[in-house]
Amino acid sequence: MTDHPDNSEHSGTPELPIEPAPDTAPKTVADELFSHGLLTYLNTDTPARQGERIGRLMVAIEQDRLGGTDVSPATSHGFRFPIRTARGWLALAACLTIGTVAVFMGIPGEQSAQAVVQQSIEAMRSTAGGDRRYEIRIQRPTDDAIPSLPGAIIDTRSPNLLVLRSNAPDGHEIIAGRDATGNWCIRRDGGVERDHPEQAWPKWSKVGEESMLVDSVDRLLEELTKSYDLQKEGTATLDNKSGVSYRHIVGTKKRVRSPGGDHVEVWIDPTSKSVERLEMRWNLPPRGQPGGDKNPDAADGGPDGSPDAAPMDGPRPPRGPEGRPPREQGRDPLGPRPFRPDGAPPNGPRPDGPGSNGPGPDGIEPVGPGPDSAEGPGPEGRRPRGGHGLEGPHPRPEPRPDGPLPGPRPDGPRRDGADGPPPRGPGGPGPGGRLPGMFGAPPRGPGPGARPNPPRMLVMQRVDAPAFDAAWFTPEVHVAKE
Amino acid sequence: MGGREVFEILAREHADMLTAYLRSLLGADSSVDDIFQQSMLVAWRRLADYDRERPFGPWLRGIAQRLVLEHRRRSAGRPRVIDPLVLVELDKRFDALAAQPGDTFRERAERLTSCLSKLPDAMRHAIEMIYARGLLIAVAATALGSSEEAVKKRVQRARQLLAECLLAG
Repeated sequence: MTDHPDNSEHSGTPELPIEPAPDTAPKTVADELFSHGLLTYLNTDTPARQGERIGRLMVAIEQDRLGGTDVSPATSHGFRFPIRTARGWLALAACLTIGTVAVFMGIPGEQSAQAVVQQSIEAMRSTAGGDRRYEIRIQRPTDDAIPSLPGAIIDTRSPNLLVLRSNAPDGHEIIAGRDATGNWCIRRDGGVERDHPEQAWPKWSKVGEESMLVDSVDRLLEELTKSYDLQKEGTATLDNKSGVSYRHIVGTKKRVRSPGGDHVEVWIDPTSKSVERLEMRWNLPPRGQPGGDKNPDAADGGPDGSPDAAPMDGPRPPRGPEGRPPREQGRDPLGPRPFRPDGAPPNGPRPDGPGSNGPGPDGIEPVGPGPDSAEGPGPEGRRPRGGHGLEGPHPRPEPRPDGPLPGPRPDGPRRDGADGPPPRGPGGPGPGGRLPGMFGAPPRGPGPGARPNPPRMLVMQRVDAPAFDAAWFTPEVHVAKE
Repeated sequence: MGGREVFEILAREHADMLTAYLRSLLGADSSVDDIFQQSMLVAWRRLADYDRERPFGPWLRGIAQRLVLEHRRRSAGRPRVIDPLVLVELDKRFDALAAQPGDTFRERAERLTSCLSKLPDAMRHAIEMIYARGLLIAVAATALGSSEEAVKKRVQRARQLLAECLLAG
């Protein structure tokens, strides 16, 4: 090594867990630093981790190679400035030309964004997509910020396996998923429900009585390509993943009444092509303005149900200079519950008690129509028709004395149509509307009051997870939990 | 073979060395990933400056060293500059390790395991508690039935002995 720093103000050594012995010779200190580096490297930096570093590096180099103007250093210092200046002018001229052509020829700017998202869809549908875990956080209209604890956990394995775990306000855990046989949920009585698993899914998963989220991430992305004008925002980092530059896609909803938030942002891992983070924001009036600080359970129609919806003015999370989202705090994937891919029952109530952000233990309860929704109370006086699941899945096989649940399904006819048309109650699917429920397309509600309040923001964040056992996606593993 | 392919080979070949070097210099700092990537990117951008007659490793470490020092200057509460004599000596040790038999850096570094087995039990246990199990000094001290100061001294002495053992060939 030939370059050494100015030694006029040297004053120490790197901070190790245990500092080198004081007042020792530089050679001895170097010995300690050397051993410390090797010990830490051997115990921390596995070949797999190194492979990830190289992968990220090569992506960054590729981006640098394609986009940078000073990738190749000037070999002659005397000409460096003029050459770079000329390159700069040439680059500017090229950008202006491309921009002008794009404006006049109508080249769609979202094409590359669509391609990136499409690549991600394909990657996540391939078996190479692997095991992933996402945490869901919901910011309700009355919340100041995204809650620190997740409201739900989604475990997924490409191409088509899924487990959702969330908490109902009464404290019982909602568990639903999809295995090789199809969709399932765990009933309150502990049995496995495969005929009407939609009952289990929490309201927020349907985003205003419309199915959009929590089906699977790849289908969510597919919906984005259809319903949003997507733009590529270059690369961005996330606070929780140091050194990774994600492909950053932003989108604005094309149609006001299509499902999902008014704005969406997606961060896609350039190496694995999988979604690292997804944020959806709804156009809600700011808190303190009319409609902006109301009871989230009041279902007087969300702004996305109105063509003249207010501009997006909800509180965006604080952002760093690179537009990164806030560092997530308190990210315990399962809260106090241990993650049990082996399906062992956790035994006992959730020790953390109710969540900190709302009446539900997971802080997500107000997202869907509440008990005092304009949709009116449901047959039980507490659940609007067509609303599902915050109370958890209802045991379907038993006839219900209090309502029509055994009859026409509130979530629409069965796939074989045996149930006939769905009911037309407020909040139910409108005539000709497609069926609600997590696997259907958005219904068309009959009018104002049919749509529950949307949240302000929904965040889906990938987190580290162990490799799931194959049985993790089957209901039998989870039955004992109930 | 293009410049990118050549650089990828160099990067893969020296990634482990660079990581260990950064771990030496950064101590408990969590910026290893960032500075690793920055170092490699600077090396990529300045590849034309690299004298191909000389080994790539020391050149890469020179880049990394400057980035580490810059990082430390920006970080509040840290010594502004590392003793340059320590840096010179540290560099010598990485050069010496590169000269050891073995096909890869990891293979050479893993010889540390056999050196570890030669340490006295008390030192070896202290190293294992701190590095392999990642325990805090206080926890390790409790587990070992020693004072924190005793554990620190054992770790310090063990690190010196390990370096001597490893470089003794």
